[in-house]
Amino acid sequence: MSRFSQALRRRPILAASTAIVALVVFVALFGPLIAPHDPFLIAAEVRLQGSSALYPLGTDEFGRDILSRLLYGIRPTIMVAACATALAAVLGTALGIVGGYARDWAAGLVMRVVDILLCFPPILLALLAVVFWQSGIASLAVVIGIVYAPQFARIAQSATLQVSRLEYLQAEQVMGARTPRIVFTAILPNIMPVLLVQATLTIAEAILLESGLSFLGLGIVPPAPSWGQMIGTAQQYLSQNPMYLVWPSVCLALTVLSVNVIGDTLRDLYDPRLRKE
Amino acid sequence: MMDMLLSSLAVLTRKIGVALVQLVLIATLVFSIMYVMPGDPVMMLLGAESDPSPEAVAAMRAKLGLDQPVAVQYASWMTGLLHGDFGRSVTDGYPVADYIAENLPLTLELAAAAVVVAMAIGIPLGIVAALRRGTVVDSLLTSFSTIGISLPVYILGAMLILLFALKLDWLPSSGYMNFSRNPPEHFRRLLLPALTLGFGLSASITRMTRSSVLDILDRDFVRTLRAKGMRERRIIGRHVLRNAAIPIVTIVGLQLGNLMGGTVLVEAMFNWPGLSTLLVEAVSTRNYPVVQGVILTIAGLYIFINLAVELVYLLLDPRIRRRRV
Repeated sequence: MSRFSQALRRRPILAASTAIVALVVFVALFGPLIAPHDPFLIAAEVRLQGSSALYPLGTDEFGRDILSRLLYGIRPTIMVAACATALAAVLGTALGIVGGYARDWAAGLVMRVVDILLCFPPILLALLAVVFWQSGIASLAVVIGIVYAPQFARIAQSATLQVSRLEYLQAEQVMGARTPRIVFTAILPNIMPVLLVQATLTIAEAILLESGLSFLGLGIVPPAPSWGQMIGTAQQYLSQNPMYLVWPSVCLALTVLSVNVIGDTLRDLYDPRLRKE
Repeated sequence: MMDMLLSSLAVLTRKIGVALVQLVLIATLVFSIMYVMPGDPVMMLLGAESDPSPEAVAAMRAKLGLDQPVAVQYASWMTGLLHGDFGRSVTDGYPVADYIAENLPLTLELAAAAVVVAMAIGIPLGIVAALRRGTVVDSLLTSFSTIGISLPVYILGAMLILLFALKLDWLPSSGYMNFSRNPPEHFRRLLLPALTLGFGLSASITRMTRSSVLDILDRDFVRTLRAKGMRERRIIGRHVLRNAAIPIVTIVGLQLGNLMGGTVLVEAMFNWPGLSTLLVEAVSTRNYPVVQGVILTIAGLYIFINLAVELVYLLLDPRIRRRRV
């Protein structure tokens, strides 16, 4: 972590990104407490207004306060992204370790399946799953988690292969350590940095995928607000209130960009493959 | 010469074989998702909350062939596919294959236009960045490509609509015009979606072109050409770019999958009546045969494109041909 805080001091863009992510997490936790209005309160007489003292960022097509909806709308997105990434990490890492450490036929089978899944654009897999399932935070998290598991599996597999060639791991094998012991004490701690980097990048992708599904009207169910869905709806009212589109777009773009900047920095700092070069 | 041809042929057959296996596995995956997911398609179609009678449920199940054993369903799904039969739409009984045939060309057109746009933006910018390495221009172009890669298409599209359709009023904000009815209008309406879809790809191409050109510029033969007194313009145009082309083709090929994913959002956003619009509509009405057909088509396209890209390498680069033997 000390390496990260050093980088934080030296790179202003990284510092700004970290601040933005911290703010997003804060709002996800406490947004409902600081929101100035009820995000569900419909007021037909103030439809699609611009900024005003009462509504700092204007109102949407039902006269609801856009700022409050933005503040409420982070939470489902972050919840879905975090849970999906956790699921993808656990599932993918398990598969990847099997692919990297198990017997040849099992490893081969797992990695072939992973390869097939990898060649699908994630949004297609997600859509395929959404047809047969109710949309909601929990199901979205599971679907998106499964969709991103193959990427983790790939990363975990190549890292495991590298680690398993190291002498101390071979020494453990020679001394007769059992597979669970080797996996949990020798392999996992060593591939952790790579997995953390991948997790950060996956969070950004999961945020985008959830927002994309919500944008299409197939993710978070209205009237509950979410950024992607606000962007999708706002597009229909562009001529009346263009700022309705701009605010959620800026929030989403900044969040994703910041998470990506952090992920890229972590990769530069902790990925041994890059450090050697 | 003869055995080189033979080994190329062997590589070719193996690659086609792998692609076929992939297709079969994906068809199986698309089929089995329906049984893996917890929801019951019949209840979803009839609407579980309306509490349909058991007779209605059984009738629907029989109509869709879902009362058959899974193995029988799988066999008929796969043999259907071999005959180009993707089943029938649940809502109107229209063959799914006809829907796909109607919408596929428009998606291909949009994707092709996006690739053209991306190369038209990305390659010149990448060359400029490489030639001005380390200057302000270079760092501006590099940060532009970072933003381009992480900007979601629906935000970029929204910004483009705001700018070109609303503020400047140059282009229509969305919609489609049949080519045969009004060709200029058809292309005017293609422009914004193609730009939206191509922008992210152009960012990757910019990056790849930059590093690839930089790599070639360092080579000995470039120094020789310079020492011979050849003009810089000619060195770049005839020798550097030609050698830098393979990684650029690679990145375009690799990104085509993302591009197909991107069409889902871009088509919805601009009301472009391609495969993805069909897909999104079918997802929201739970019209699962259409969803399965479209997804299988897109995956098939993706596999086919990958195969084509690999074959192009084989033709472009004799080194790869020899290495794979």
